[in-house]
Amino acid sequence: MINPAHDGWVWGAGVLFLLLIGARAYTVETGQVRLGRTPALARMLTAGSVLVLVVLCGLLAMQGGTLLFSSIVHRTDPSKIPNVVLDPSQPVDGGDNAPDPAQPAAPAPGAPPPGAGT
Amino acid sequence: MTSTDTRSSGDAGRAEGGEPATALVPAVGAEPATTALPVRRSAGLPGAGPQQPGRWRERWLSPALALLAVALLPLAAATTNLYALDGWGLGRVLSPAGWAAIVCAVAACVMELKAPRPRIPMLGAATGVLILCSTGMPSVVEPVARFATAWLIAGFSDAIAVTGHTPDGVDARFYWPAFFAQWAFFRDAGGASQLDTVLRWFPPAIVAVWTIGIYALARSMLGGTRAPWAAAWLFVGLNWIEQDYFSPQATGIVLMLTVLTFALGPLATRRTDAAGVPGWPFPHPDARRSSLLRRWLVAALTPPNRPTLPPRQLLLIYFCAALCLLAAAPEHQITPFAIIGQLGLLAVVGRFRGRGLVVVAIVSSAVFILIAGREFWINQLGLIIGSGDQGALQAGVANRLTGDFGQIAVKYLRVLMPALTWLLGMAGAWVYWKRRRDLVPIGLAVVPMFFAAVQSYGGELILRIVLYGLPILSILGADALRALVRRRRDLEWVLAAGMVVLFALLVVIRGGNDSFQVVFPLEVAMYRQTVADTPAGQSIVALSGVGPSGVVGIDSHPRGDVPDGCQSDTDDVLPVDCLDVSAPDVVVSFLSVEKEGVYLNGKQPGWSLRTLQQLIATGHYTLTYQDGFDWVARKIPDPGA
Repeated sequence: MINPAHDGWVWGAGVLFLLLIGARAYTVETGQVRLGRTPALARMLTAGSVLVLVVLCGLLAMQGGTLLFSSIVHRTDPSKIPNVVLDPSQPVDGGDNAPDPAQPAAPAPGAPPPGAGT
Repeated sequence: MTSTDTRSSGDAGRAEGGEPATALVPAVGAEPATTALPVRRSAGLPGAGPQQPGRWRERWLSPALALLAVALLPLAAATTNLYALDGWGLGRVLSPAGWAAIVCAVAACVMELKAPRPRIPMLGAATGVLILCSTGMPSVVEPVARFATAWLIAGFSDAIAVTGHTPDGVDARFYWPAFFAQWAFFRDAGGASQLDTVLRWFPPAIVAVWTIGIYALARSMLGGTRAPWAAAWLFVGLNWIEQDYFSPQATGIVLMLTVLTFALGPLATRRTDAAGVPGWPFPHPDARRSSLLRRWLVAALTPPNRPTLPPRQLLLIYFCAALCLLAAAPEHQITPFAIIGQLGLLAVVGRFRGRGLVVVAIVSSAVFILIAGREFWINQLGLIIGSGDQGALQAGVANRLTGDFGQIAVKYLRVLMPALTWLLGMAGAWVYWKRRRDLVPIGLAVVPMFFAAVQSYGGELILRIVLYGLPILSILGADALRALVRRRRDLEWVLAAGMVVLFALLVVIRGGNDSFQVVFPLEVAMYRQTVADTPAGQSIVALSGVGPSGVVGIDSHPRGDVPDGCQSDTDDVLPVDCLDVSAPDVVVSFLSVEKEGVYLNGKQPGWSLRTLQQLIATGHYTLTYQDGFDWVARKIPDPGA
């Protein structure tokens, strides 16, 4: 099931990837390199870019990539799958265990009392 | 000639006919024999100066012809009878002044190119005039923009400008809203209430921008001073595809050409071995040949050489290219894939520095489609993969060969033009291969063909394949023509005559549907008034898909659904029975609807008026406006309701 609430993570990962690859380009193009050597910072940024790219691919797969791929491969219609996208207006667990919005949630153990200051 | 000047002037065949200025000027005694600077003519040299008989002609003939072409355009607009348009389209009714303007524009280009020293500003101006007289001819002779889709897209921008957001459930194209939002912003920022003038002049303006890209690309690929201009004109002359109306794909092509110009221009490079020799690293003679996979891996991990640009310039180009790639994702559905395919090919063969741009293009497109376009692909996946659709060739070519004799003839010309384009492109690829041992350019033209294996894009994929390949094919074609005239200089005049024929054919082919694509200002005003007089939520249905319906009110006034059983493969006109079933609140029709039925669908003249009479005879509708074939019928309110 696709949860639209997680889309922000995808956009964030995408922006982070662009920033990292831009920083890598700056490092590579402006750095003084010797033949056969890659600057350590460039290598670090390359590794970071690859890591973020992997995370982004995972998030994309989770947020619809897998469904789209399987739908194309198997020629199935994703709109026929019930509840394929989580409706944010509906509670996740069907409402039985959902907290009553009229009742304030109990404070976590160890939490400071209201107005205690820091 | 100096000791270092070994280049030929290339003007051997042009020396005759009173043009001695083109001949190689021998170094005179005052010039140092060892200088590497080009030889400059001075007024004192024998054979140069204002007394030359051909000098005036070289300087003023091209501007005079260009001015004459522009001066003929108002005359062409005044003497072209648009009400006489038939199945042959604009080619049948265009006045002699219009044809003369095309000839003058071509002559202006040719005369400047033939000059001993072609002036770049003059060539640019002549090219602009050529575009205005060919691609822009309908914009000149027709009072407002033609093409129903352009008006519909203006309606999309209008919806965003009025409401501030994209309307839901109106059109799948709203999932790629960048172009509509961009023009809604421009409209608001300019304080305008509509985009009619932009729509009218958009085609020549956008083709001028494309042509700049082709010129820049051709300069990188062909070199020289004349061939890039020939490539640009060839592109304009072969571009009958008419995707340059007010549309997202027109802007998408600008982005594609920008990225390609960067990749094949300032970022262009080649992999070289340690000695600087281009190509694959040459193995030791005794070494065992490594596997293909290993060679690919080595190639992939070997960065192309650094172009000879300062790092800041290189970074600026990366930034601009990345910006174009990011902008292409929400702009158009398939243009990003054309860019990814072409950039991917260039990256694999190591022809540009900045391979990360390919990753940027893939990531931006994937994120946008999967996240922002989720609702689209979940509900309309068939549109992406073309499931249940006809093949691209069937939908894009065979199904369109309908209409009267003029329509069929024009459509066969449309089939012939891409065939000739590819033939010329392949000849150019052969010349390019012989000269540079390089097959990458033809690969760039082939890449968009892979789209056909994926989907049919509503039957318009063939057009897109031709369009995305056309820039490279034009450049290769110019290379073939250059090789031809280098062998036989006397063919230059034959090619000039061919250019006149090509641009005349362009007007015929592009204007082939003008009998039912032409729009009149009164029709636009009629539709706007109809929307203004109709309460929000009531449906307004046009008798056919042509005409300016949808220019306003697409979010407030549904355009109606075609009832089951009323669709037809060759005729999208709703019969009166279907109208009675779907019961729209308002029915509108235009002169273009009448002509579409007559010239494209084989109906008897006057059929749309007979449909109106039948509609009125049902007793459910009343005629509220009529001017010739333009009419509005409104549903009579139910007294019991």
